[in-house]
Amino acid sequence: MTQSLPFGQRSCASPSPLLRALREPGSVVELPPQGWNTLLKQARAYGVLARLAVELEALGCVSEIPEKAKDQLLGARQVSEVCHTGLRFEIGQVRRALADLRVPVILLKGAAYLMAGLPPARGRVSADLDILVPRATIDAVETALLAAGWEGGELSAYDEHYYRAWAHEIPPLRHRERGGELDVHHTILPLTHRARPDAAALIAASEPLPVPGLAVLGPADMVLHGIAHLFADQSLRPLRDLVDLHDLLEQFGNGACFWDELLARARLHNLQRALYYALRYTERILGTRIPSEVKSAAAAHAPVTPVRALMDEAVDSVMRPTVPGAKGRRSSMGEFALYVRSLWIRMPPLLLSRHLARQALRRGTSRLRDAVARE
Amino acid sequence: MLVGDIPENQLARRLRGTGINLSTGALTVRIRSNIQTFVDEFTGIYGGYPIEDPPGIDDGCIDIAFSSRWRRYFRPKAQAYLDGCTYFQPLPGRLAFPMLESMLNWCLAISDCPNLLLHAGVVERDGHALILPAESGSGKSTLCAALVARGWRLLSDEFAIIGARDGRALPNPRPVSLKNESIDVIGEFAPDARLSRRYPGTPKGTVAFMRAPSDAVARVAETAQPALVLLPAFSPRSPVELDTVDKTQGFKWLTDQSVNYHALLEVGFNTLADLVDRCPIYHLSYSRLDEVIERIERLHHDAVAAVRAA
Amino acid sequence: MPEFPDDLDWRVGGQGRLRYRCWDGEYVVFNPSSGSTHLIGIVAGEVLIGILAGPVSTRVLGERLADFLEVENDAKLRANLDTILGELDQLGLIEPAHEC
Repeated sequence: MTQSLPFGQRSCASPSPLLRALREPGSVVELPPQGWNTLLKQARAYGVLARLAVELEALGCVSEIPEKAKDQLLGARQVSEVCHTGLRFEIGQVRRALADLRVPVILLKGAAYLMAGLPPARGRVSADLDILVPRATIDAVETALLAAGWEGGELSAYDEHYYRAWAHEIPPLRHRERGGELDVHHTILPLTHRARPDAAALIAASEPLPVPGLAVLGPADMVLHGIAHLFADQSLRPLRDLVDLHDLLEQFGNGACFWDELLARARLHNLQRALYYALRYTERILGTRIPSEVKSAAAAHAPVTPVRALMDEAVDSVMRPTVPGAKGRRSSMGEFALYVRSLWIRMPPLLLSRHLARQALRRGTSRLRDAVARE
Repeated sequence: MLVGDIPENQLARRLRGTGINLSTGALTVRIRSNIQTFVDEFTGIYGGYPIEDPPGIDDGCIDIAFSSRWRRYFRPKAQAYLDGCTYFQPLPGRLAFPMLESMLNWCLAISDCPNLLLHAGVVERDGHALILPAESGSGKSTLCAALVARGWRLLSDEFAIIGARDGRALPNPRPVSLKNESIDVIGEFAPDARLSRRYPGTPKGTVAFMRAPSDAVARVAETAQPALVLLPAFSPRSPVELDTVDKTQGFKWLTDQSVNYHALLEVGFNTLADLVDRCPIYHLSYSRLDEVIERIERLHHDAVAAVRAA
Repeated sequence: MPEFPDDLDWRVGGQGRLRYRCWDGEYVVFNPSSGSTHLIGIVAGEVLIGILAGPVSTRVLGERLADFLEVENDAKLRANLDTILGELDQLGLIEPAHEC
């Protein structure tokens, strides 16, 4: 699927009903049909339609929603339930495969939200499974998974080398019988990243789940992982990721020591700049409640003003939906800038040109393959 | 109001501007286009379809547009968008109408439909549906068109929609898409069939469309109980041959032909298992239309009798 | 080739609510806890259905299978049973009952 500027979109440009719906879900019941059209298309394009459905159900206002909109919302929620079913099942299978190793298996991102019952799990539409294990055990983990039916995909020599030398995970695994992709991480950011999160500290502070053998990151680390993913790694769905952060901050924000812990862990993991950005943009875009003393502490790590202005513009254009169902030319530029920026931060300069060139080449090849397949 | 009720110059203006909301049964889609030849062909095929006025919430917004301003004049290429996204290669502007048909199929396929979608043609007689699932090129659309020409009601040429609640087939009558040789085959078999002009040079070769009879469009709310599943295969010079398909194999085959079986989880399993329980499934190879149609009519008659007896 | 102990109890994985149809001795099985559908032959299907009612040991499954096939409950039958159990396990349909 590619996105592009559609014919006649000028007539649809309007302020974003999506951001309003994310901030005040209950407000959607007042929307006129054309407002619904804009909202549904934006929410679908930005990967938050199912989340909106779950929130509206929780608010008990589904019965006040027009039939057509309800169909689309509940359809999207069904897709998210399929993802949850598959994910829950695969987590169980991974736990079984690694049970004998007695290695702590720390669930990351969507898997962690689902099993810990955290709000970002609502309406997620990803079935990717990410786990974190101590680096020293990674060979044993990989061997046990291969024995239980997972397989590595076919990678080019370049990709294999890239993963083993620079990435924060081993090449993705896929189960022979069941499909289902599994990413095994030993830290949360690529090794080439300027910030080197302390993987041992992440594991030491992890919290066990009621299911034996499984754990999740502590609250502050979980938030910082989301932040690292969004602002330092390459995020494919930036608005969805920002909404996840908003949900986590709202969930943990009432905890006694959460905010102090967050600032301290950001220092430990060298993610203070990214934390500053995260707090700035969750508040600006989604209205997240953040204590003012936390904001001023984080602001000590703000970039110089011109950089911040650039970042504001890039983030706004990526995060603020402007056109129903389509991201305009401006925002795809913004997205690209953010993408290059995240690569730039992650890699030594020489590697950058090589990796980008490879990716461009691969995209070209796959497009060619599609064209041929269509004939 | 029907598409054909709008005066032609007004329709062209609306398609260029805010668009019209076309209802085909399962979907209501907003359509816009700035291609003049498209407007004429669209009215020719969809003139008898209702439009939603004033427009409500749509299931998708399809734009068929020249891919750039100067393309309009120099070897014009058209691009189709669904909610602002492209999924297909641009094609010459004269193929704008077939592009709309592809996009309408695509829109249903990715619509998170709560009912089971099978890649199949569906026709109805005596209140019971015959389902013709098939890969492209098996002659599914040819059979569908021939049966409709013999008075069967068209429910759908592209997707069977099986209700998750009651297992009944839901109508979404749209034009039957005929490819290459089958255009002449239907032209000879049913000289009265209302065929569109031919569109040479599409990714599938030359295509033409048989209009859905007005009766099929009018009875869009009338669902039908499935009674028979036939997996057709056109095989040159072969007499009609019928092979019973094991239910388990039939089940597997139908899951392969479904775009959303896996997304429906247990509902998908129950819906499909009930369908397979209820309907006999046959492989059907054929070469001559008159011969195979007669055979299908007898099979369907028996299947309906069996359903009624049960 | 896995060799499972005689007294190892087997059960249906997850919530244990498998949905299935049996047509002409072949089984189509839907597993609600994975969302997957499996086509299963008559012998493996018989083993699986035997486990549906509650945990059953490998030994009992072997005895029942020998009755069902009307053959000796010998090493060859047992090797086949072990293969079937291993495959059903890999598909995520069953698991040893001691695992929590």
